[in-house]
Amino acid sequence: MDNILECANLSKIYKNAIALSGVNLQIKKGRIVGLLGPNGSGKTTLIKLANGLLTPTMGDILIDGKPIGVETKKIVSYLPDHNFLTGWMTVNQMIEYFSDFYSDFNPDRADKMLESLGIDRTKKIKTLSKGTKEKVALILVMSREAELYLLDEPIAGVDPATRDYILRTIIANYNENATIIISTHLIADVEQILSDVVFINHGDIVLCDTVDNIRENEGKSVDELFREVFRC
Amino acid sequence: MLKKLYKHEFHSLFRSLLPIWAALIGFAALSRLTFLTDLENDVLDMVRGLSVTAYIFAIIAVFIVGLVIVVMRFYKNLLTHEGYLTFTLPFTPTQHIVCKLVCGAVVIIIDFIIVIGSLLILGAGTEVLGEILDAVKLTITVLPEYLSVGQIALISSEIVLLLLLAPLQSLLMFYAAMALGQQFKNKVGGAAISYICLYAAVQIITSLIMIPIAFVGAGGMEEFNNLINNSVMYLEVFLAFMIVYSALLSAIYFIITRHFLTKKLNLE
Repeated sequence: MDNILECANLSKIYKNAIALSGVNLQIKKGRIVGLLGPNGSGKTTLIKLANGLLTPTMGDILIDGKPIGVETKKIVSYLPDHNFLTGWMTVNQMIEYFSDFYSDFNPDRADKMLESLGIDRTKKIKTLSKGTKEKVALILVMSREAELYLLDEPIAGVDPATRDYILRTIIANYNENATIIISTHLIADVEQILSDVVFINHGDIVLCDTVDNIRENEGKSVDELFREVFRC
Repeated sequence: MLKKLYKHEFHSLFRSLLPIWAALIGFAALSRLTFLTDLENDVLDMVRGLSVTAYIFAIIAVFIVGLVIVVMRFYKNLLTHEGYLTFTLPFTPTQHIVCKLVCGAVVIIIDFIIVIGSLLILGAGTEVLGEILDAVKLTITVLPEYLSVGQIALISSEIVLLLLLAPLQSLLMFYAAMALGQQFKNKVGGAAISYICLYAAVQIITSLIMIPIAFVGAGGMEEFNNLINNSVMYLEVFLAFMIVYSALLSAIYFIITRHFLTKKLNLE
């Protein structure tokens, strides 16, 4: 099986809005994919569906050929677009928590990253600054040796130095057999690390191609093409 | 792996509850100590008064704060930002609900054990405790004169089962209300409205069912007349009915909770 993520006629309709409209998408293994689109385009909905946090209104979504469930959760490492850590726990307790539930969690990798950033492991999550919380969350997510990483807006709302650290962390922990899907609207910052891009708008996939093809065929950077496609 | 889910659940609950339980036992012991001496003076009277007042407040705290902690744990861990992590752990929503339910029910049972333990400390060495123990012994001696061993076994089992079902039913009602409430924009308000609606609906249905049962003897139905003339059998049947009714309500609450957390999850 070459595809890590497959969507077939996937739709999600909320009470008053269509979030995804008949999406057909295949993401191959071993790629770093940018899921790019403006705010409200359906990026987070697609990622939530892949994590089982939402159920599709219609259609199917498969991870490694399996419907979303316990087996897919074992191989997916998910970074939501906001803090998801437990406030009363210390950083050490969060590491223990991840170690207990994810057999692919590598505590040594987490230790090294925490040490390199000088994060005090005995501090409670709620006492950390917003930026430090985001770094701890990323460290936990990237310390798993998962088959699919779903990173929802990992660089939104952080300073440029932290942004660089996050991108370096993603690249440093990238296993060539794993797939990373990064949802963002900050194209210029992530373009350098992407192998494929998926443009999404109003719940529809408008483009799905490799970065090399875009540069060769369009003669533009992904950022330039994005600005053209999504011009207001 | 499932054991670890329970381990973390108990850890989360116990870290808040242990100080309350310790305070209750502490105040019971302090109150008992102040009554060890017959010495009368203003300071000792004040200490006695304060320790007994603190003990009474601690009993109230054990039950009310204990329940609030269990209910809030469900809400925070599943329906707020923490839910993003909880629901992406490799477990099904059903496993999460059952884990929270079992741990919550265990906490409520421990609450009762701790309160009984504190009462024993308070009454240790006093005549009151001796009188209670005598009354229990007397009941155990006298009961076989009126009831057969089978009847005692059946009624005791039914009462134990009802006592075990009671915390499950009340917790599941809170869980169902919270699962329904997250469909509203204001989730806490939605949960409160859902709880009131569920409570009212259950009260109406229970009344509609109980009224015919209470008046069935006056209905001239011979079989039922015979049944209620035999009060022991009536008690057995009534308790059995209550068990089935409680189990049925619990099952309905569980299905509502499971449905909304599986198909209609709406995290912040």
